Amino acid sequence: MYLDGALGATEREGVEAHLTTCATCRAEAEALGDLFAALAKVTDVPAPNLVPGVLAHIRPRRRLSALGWLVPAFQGAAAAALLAWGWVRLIDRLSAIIQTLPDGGLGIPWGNIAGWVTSQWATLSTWPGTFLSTFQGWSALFSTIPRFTLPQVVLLGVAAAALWLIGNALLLRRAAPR
Amino acid sequence: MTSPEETGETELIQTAQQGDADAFGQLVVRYQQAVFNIAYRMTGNHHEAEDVAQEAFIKSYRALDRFDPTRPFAPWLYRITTNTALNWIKRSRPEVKMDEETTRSETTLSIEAQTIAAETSDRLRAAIAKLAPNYRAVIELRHFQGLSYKEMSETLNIPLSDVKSWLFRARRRLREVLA
Repeated sequence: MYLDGALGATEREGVEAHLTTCATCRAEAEALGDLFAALAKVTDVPAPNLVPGVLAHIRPRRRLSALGWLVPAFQGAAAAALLAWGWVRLIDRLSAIIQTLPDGGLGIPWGNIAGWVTSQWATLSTWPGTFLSTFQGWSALFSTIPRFTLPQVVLLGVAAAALWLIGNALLLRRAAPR
Repeated sequence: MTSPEETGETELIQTAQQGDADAFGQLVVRYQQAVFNIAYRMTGNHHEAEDVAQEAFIKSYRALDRFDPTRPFAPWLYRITTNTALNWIKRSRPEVKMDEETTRSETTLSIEAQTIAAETSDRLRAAIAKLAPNYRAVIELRHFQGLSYKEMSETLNIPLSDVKSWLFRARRRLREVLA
C-alpha cells in the first residue's frame, strides 16, 4: 500500500521511518519498486484490425431497428384486421347472447346495452361500406370473402399469435450478437 | 476544458448510442490497440486475445445506452475488457480455478519467449500469463490501468480486503516467476 501511494500521511511517514532502520523491509520495498518500474515499461503488441469483426456483430441491431418500424406496424394492422373481421362475423351472435344474459339481480339492462351496441355498429358499419362502394369491383370482392365460424376465428387468432411469437423469436435470435 | 479530440469522441459516443454502427467502428479504431493488449495480457494468447477484445467491444456497444457520455470512455471500456477476459478464462478453461495458476499460458507463450527472449516486455507478459486469472486481473487493473484499490474492488465486485491480498500475492508470485 505504501508503494501504491494508498497510505495516509501519518502512516506513510511511519513506514518511511521504519525503512530507514530495517534493511529487510528496505530490500523488499526496493525489489517491489523494481517490479513496478519493469511493469511500467511493458510495451504494447500490435493489435489486429478488430473493426470488421465487431461491425459484423453489431450491424444486425441496426437492421432490426429499421425493421422495428415495419414489423410492429404490420403486426398491428394484421391484428386490427383480424379483430375487425371477427367483430363483423360475431356481432349479431354476441348481441343475441348478451340479450339472454340474466341481470344477476343487479338491474343491469343487458338488453338495452346490446341494443345500443348493435345500433352503434350498424351506424359505424355504413362508413366502410360507403367507402368501399365508391370503388367499383371492391364491394363485389368484399362480398366474396367467405364467412368464418366462431371456432375458425378462434383458430385464426391462435395461429396469428403463434406466428407472431415465432417470427419475433427468429428475428431477435438473428440480430443478437454472439 | 476538453480537447478537440475528446469533443469528437463524445459526439462519436452519442452517435453510436443512437445505433450508428459506423460511429462505434471509429471508437473501435481508436481503442482496439489498448483493448487488445489488455486481453493479451489477461489471456496470454494472441488468438484468444483477439476474440476477447472483439467480445468486449460488442458488450460495450450493447451497454452503451447505460454509459454517461460526459464521463471518460476509456476506463469504462477497459473495465469491461478486463471482466470479459476473466469470464472468458472461466468459460474456456473451466478446469482452471480463478485462484490457481495455469500452465497453459506458459505453453502458448513459450514459442514467443524463445524467439525474443531478450525482450523484457515479452518476459513480463509471459510471467503475468502464468499467474492465476484473478491475480492477472489485479495486476492489469493496478499497474496497466492505474485503478485505485476502491475502483478495483468495484470493477471486480470483491471486498477491498481481497483486492489488497490478491495484489500482494500476485506481486510476490510475479517476482518469483521472474527471478
